[in-house]
Amino acid sequence: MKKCKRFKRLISDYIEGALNVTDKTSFESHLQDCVNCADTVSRVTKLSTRMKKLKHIKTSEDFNTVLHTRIRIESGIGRRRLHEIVWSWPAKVPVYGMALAIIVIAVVLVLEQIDNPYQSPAPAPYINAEWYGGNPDQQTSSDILTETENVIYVIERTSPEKLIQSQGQSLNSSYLDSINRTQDSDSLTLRNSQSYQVNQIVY
Amino acid sequence: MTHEEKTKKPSDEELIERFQNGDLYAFDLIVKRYKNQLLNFVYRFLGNSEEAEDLVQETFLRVYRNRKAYQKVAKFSTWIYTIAGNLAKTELRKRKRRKFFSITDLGYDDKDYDISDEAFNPEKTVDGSIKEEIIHQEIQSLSPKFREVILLRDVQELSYEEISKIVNIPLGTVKSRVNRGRLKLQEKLKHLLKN
Ligand SMILES: [Zn+2]
Repeated sequence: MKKCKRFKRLISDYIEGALNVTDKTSFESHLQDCVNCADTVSRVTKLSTRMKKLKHIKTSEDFNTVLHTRIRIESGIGRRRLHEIVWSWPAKVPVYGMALAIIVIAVVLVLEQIDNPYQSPAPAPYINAEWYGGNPDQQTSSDILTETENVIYVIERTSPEKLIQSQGQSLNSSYLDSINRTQDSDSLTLRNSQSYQVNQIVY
Repeated sequence: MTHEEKTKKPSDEELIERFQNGDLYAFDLIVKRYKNQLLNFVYRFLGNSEEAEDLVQETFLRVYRNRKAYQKVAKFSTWIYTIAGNLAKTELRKRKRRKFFSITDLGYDDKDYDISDEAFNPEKTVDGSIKEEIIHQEIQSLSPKFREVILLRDVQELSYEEISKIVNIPLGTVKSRVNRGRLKLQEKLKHLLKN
C-alpha cells in the first residue's frame, strides 16, 4: 500500500513518458502485481484523453464589436457622458442599437475632443478600408480577418467625420446597407445591448 | 498550409510588437487567435459561459490598456493566460464573498452535490452530452488550485514550464498538482472511466 502511494505520484510522468528507464521498469513491474494501480493508470490515461476532447465553445458573434466599443468608450469618454449614453440607448431597437451607439460615441469623441491616453503616441485608430483590406504579404489566410469581421472593423474605424456626414444625411442608404449587413451576420440581440452596463465599462 | 505560408505567419510576439507600435490590425489578430482558447479555459474554470465571455473581454481590454507593459522576455501566451487566470481567480474570490453573505447559501456546500448517487444513471451516459455535463460538473468540484493547472495541462495542452510561469509556482509543484488533480478527478469519474 505504501508502495502504491509512491507509484501513484508517478502516474502522470508514466503516462506522459517522462520516467527514466529504471523508474519505468519498476513502475511497470508494480502494475503487473497491482490491479488497483493498473486500474488507476488506465483511468487517468482515459481521463487525460477525454479532457482534450471536451466540447469547445465559441465566443458570441458580436464579441469583436462589443470589445471595440468598450475600448472606444474607455479610451475617449468620461464617466458622466458614458452614463448618459448607456441610459439613452435605444434598447428596443436591437438591430440599430449598437450601430447608433457607435455613432453617438464618435460624435461625442469629436465634440469633446478628448485626448486619448492610450492612443498617444500611437497613431489614431482610424484606418481606412483600403489599408485594412490590403496587406496580403503579412498574414496567412487563417490570420486574415473574415469578411464579416472586416466589415465591422471598417465601420468601427471609419473616421468620426465620415460618421457625422452619414448621420447628417439621415444615414444614407449605402451606409445603412453596410450596417445592416453587419447586423445580420453579427446578430446583435437585446440581451447583448442590455448586458452592456455602466459598471462593466467604467473602471 | 504550405511550408512557405507557415513561415510567414507572424508570431504572437511579432503581433504584440506591431500593436505596441500602433498597429490595431495586429491587436485584432491577437484577439482572433486567443479569444476562443481563453474562453474555453475560463469557461471550464468558472463553469459559466456568459461570465467567461465577459472575463475574456476584460482580458483583452487589459491587454489593450497595458500593452506597453508587455516585455519580450516573456512569451505572449504566458502573459495573456496570466491575466485571464488572475481575473478568473478574482472572480472566484468575489463569488466566495457573495456566498458568505448570502443566507440562503448557508450550510450548502458543493460537496452536497453528488452526481454519482441520484443524477447519474448509466443508461443516460450513452448520450455523450450527458457525459460532458458530468465531467464539467466534476471539474467544477475540484478546488481552484487543482482545477487551474489541470485545465491548463489537459484542456489547453500547455507545457509544465509555461504553466509554472502562468500560475507562478515552481515546476515540481505544478507537476505534482496536475498529478494529484488527475487522481482526484478520475476518482470522482470512476463510473465513467470504466473499461
Ligand atoms: Zn499499487
